[in-house]
Amino acid sequence: MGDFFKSLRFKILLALLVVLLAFMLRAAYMGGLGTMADYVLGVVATPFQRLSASISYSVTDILDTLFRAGEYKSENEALREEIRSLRQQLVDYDAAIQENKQYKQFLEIKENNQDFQVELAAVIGRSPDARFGSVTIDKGTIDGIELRDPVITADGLVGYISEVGPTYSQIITILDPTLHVGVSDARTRDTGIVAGTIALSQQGRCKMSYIDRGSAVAKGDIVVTSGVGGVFPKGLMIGVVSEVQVESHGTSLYAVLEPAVDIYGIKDVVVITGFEGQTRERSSAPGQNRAQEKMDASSQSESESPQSGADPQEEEP
Amino acid sequence: MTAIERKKFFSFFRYVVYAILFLTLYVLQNTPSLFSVYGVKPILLIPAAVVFAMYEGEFVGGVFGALAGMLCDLGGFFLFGFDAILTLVFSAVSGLLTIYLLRRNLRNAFMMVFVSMLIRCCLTYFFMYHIWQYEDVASIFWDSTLWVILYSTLLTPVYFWMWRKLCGFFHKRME
Repeated sequence: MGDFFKSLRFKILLALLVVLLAFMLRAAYMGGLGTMADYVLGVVATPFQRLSASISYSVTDILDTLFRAGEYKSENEALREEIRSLRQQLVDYDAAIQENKQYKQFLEIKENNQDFQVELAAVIGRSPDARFGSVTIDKGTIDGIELRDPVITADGLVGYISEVGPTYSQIITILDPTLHVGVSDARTRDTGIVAGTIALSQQGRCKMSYIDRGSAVAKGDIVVTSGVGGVFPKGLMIGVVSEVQVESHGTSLYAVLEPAVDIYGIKDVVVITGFEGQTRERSSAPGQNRAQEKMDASSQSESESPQSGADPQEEEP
Repeated sequence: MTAIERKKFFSFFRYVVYAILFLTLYVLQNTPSLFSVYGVKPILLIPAAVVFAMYEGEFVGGVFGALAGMLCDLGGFFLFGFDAILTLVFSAVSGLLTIYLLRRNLRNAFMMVFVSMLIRCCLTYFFMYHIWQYEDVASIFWDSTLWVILYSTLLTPVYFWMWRKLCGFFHKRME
């Protein structure tokens, strides 16, 4: 074996190792921006990935329909029961008025969102060790997508772009503990910060923290983005409060949210490439990007933190 | 085509085939829902590279290990180059051990894949989760990382059989 370490082959492997190490250091230095090798591999692999994802979805849908027919039947019955119950509720005049108010709020949100510039994208990859439902989509810089662009579906917020290549992008989701989103309760206007926790993310849920102790946030309330900080537009649906608890330190409340989006089941998403009030202070110079992100994160945390005594929050690790 | 020309052709052609196979494994590995059992998906590229090095030796194995690792990095959510470096080292070590110390059999392939996956997944868990000290972070290891290691290792016979057939085919053509 000693001969091997003196051979040319060993030196070539060592050189390859050094090159890869340089790539890794560059990737660490540049933050979410991929290296040249990353770009080249991405351009080659993305069309194949897109094809295989579409085949996989078709096969999964067929198998899903076949194997889960019984489940769908019972789910259908449960939904019918729920519809009956909802119809009963609609008879109640006060409830109808309350619902009407909520619909009005949603209508306002929709009207306010006409400034969105969007790009439709399909989920083409889910890595075996993806963090908290993170996915790869089939659109990248050539489609106008940039780092930290918000990602939504028709149901609500999914997360934002954490890495972008020419033909693909990677998304981290609201279930990730490193992503912090400034939010407010649509009913009470109480503010807070939504982030994931490991325990909740395994159930597909997330946590709204830093709610004022005297807040009237209650189960069933709808939580939307506050828009403060300019990373996410105002009024994007996050989810519904499923329980409210007092934090262990006792000074504030937290709420467990049921996200409006099925994070682990998304297939198609919409990337918001521009919106009114978006903060997009990015530098193209190498090395400045990461520093800029840190500055953005600190200013974001200051502006999104709902109470002055709250812990400093970061937008991104 | 003379014998020398045929040998040259196959020695080049086999690398193209190997590269296409690794690209295919990458696509399969990252295809949503494919091979997913209770939310756990196997890592295909690293075990395939480790077993490949048992047949092709430390040099070719190491180079293709680096390629497999780079593809892993492309679909993954960690630093680009991390998997490439690890897989290069795992493959080169696997090739050297097969040449100097171990027999090329399924039991040893299992052992090398398991150790490689264990080191790789533990390092990933450590850098991606443990050092950030998230609440209840150990559950990630027990509920996800461990199962990824086991599931990925269980597929070793597939790679062992695939590379034995393919490398055997090319080696025979080049003799």
